[in-house]
Amino acid sequence: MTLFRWKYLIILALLLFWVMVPFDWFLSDYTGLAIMIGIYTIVTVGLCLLMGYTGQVSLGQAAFFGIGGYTSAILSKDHGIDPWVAMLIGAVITGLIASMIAYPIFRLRGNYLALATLIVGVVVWDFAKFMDQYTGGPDGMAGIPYLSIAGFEFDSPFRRYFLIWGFCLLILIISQNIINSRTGRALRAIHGSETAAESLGINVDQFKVKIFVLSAVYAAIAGSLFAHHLSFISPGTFNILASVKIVVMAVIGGLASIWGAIFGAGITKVLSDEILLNFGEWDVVAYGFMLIIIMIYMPEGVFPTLKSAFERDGFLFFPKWWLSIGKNWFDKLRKGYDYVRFRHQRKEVRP
Amino acid sequence: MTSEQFVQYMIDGITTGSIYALIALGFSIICTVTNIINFAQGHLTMLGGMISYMVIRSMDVPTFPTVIIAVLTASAIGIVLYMMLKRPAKFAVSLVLLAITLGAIPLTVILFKEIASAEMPVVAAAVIPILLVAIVGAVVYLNAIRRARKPTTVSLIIMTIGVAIFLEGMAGAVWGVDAVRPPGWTGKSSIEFLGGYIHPQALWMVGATLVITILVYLFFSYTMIGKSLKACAISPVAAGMVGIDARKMALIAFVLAGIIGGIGGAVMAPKTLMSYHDGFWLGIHGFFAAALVGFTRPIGAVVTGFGLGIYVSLMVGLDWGPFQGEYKMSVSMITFLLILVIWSSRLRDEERPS
Repeated sequence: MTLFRWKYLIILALLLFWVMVPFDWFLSDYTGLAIMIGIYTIVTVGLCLLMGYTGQVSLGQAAFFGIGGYTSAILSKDHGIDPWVAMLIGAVITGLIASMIAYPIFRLRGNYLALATLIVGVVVWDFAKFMDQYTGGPDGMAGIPYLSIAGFEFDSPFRRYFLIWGFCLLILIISQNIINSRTGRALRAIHGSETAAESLGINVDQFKVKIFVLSAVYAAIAGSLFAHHLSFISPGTFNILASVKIVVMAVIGGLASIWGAIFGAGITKVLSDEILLNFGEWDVVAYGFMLIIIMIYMPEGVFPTLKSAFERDGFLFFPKWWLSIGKNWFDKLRKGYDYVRFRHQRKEVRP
Repeated sequence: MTSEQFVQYMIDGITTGSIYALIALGFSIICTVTNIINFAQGHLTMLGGMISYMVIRSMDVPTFPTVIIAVLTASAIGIVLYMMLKRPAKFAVSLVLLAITLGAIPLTVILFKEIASAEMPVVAAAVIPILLVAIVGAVVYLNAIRRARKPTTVSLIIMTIGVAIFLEGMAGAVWGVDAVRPPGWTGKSSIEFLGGYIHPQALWMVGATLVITILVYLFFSYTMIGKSLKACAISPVAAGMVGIDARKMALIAFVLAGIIGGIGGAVMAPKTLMSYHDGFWLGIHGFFAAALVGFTRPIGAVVTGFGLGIYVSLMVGLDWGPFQGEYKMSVSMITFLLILVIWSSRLRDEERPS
């Protein structure tokens, strides 16, 4: 029971901390970083719905980010359309493209699906690079207008912080509701066994396409927010590595955990924008390494593993965990722990 | 297109096709035995080329020993991959192995350089990564007590993609982002053939592919180990009942794929150049060539590999319709996608639960 109350206290403290971030007397230097975390959380939530809950791989999620961002940017900058409408059109176009891609692609499974989504990502990136009369080519396009509501323009990072985190929260809540609804249960059934789901009367293909389109629309919204936030977008923001980074975020936050997405996006963005920036090419190595290690030792993701450890052991879980690791290791060194156990087993086999 | 151009594009297609064939061979050998699609196969080839370049440049050794070193390294990475994917508990051991294999080459280079002229920065630059990897290995060892669960398809995909990104980043960090070109093995002047020109290295590429394919065929058909590998592919349980160690067979498959990847990289680098992000393109083409024959027929994968090379080369050469300008890569990628989708009913049958 005490644990229960602690949990809420921690959530409240984190929320308070997060609201205070953009103020001048607090961490206003990191407002830009926090906004980026919000934008990438939106993409990651979409990928979590697709990969964690439905069990379908997508390695081209950044492509939809790019389509949404570019549509919004081109419409609002070159055609003078209101940014909100441009954002909506971007989301709709991305949804249409995603559904057109999804119907044939979801005839594939597993590894083939992974390759197909990878190809989609590469092709969209290629087109953004070479259609220079619309997209500005590899240099990207600048001067995209900011969002505004009835004359109130979101022209400072402080204002955009609350706008984007408002969006992020809205999308997290929508996703949470989807997961806890009939649709969410159907998705989890598909993850468990497609045959079983089909025999229970779930239209497997339709659900897969729907959730793929939903995740694409999330990515498009994030892309539009990105474009209107930085007022700049370039093909570099959605290449193959960007797609892999989104997978890294989803994996760290836990593939089947909606709220872990904030955690995953946060860790990855802090790593890539603040820490790994100083190491040049080595950041790619770090992403690969994190993917491997997390998939081997924490297949549910870092956030859910820590969460379950916290719920089991309370605040002491971290020292306890490390102590237990140290103790096992020490025991092994001291008395050949494995060897003893092995001999014991053999004794039982041959009495 | 004139007949000379046609011959030239055919020659180019066969040359690149031979590399796709080698990668597809690696893909299907691993998939046949273990049901794992190793997304890092193209990166193993890239690594083979990079290492052969590094060894040639820094040691001034003749070409053929470098090929052997490149092959050895790539196969060592194959072992590491196997340990990681099939026996996660031994991952720490495999990381130390990786550190040793990656570290041994710079160390040898340093020894050679030390004898020639003492260059401290080079030493530091080579030792620091090794130490780092070793420390990381130790940290992972501490964590290795926590056992990995049974891997699913999704986690295997993410893991092998992680390996691919890891190798790519390593190559970019160690050898720089510029493309490298090791010297050709024999001769410099092109050979004229039916109005087209053949790069001497192209003969080596096609020859190596053909020889490897024949050897693999003989290996699978006439040796006990090859037959055991085949048995594992058909039914691991039944193979286990007649005394075949499936884990050992998986190890052999990964090593074989590593060797083939290493040879491919070393043999192609003098002609096509090699840069750190080439592994990705090579991997996609090899994957596609192997996917067309369902990942379970190594010899068929070689044939489709050659066919793919010729197709891409001729389409680029035709310079017609969508196959021109900057989009040609995208267009060929979309063709792959369409073919995969059209063949999907057949692919679905081939895919077995892992």
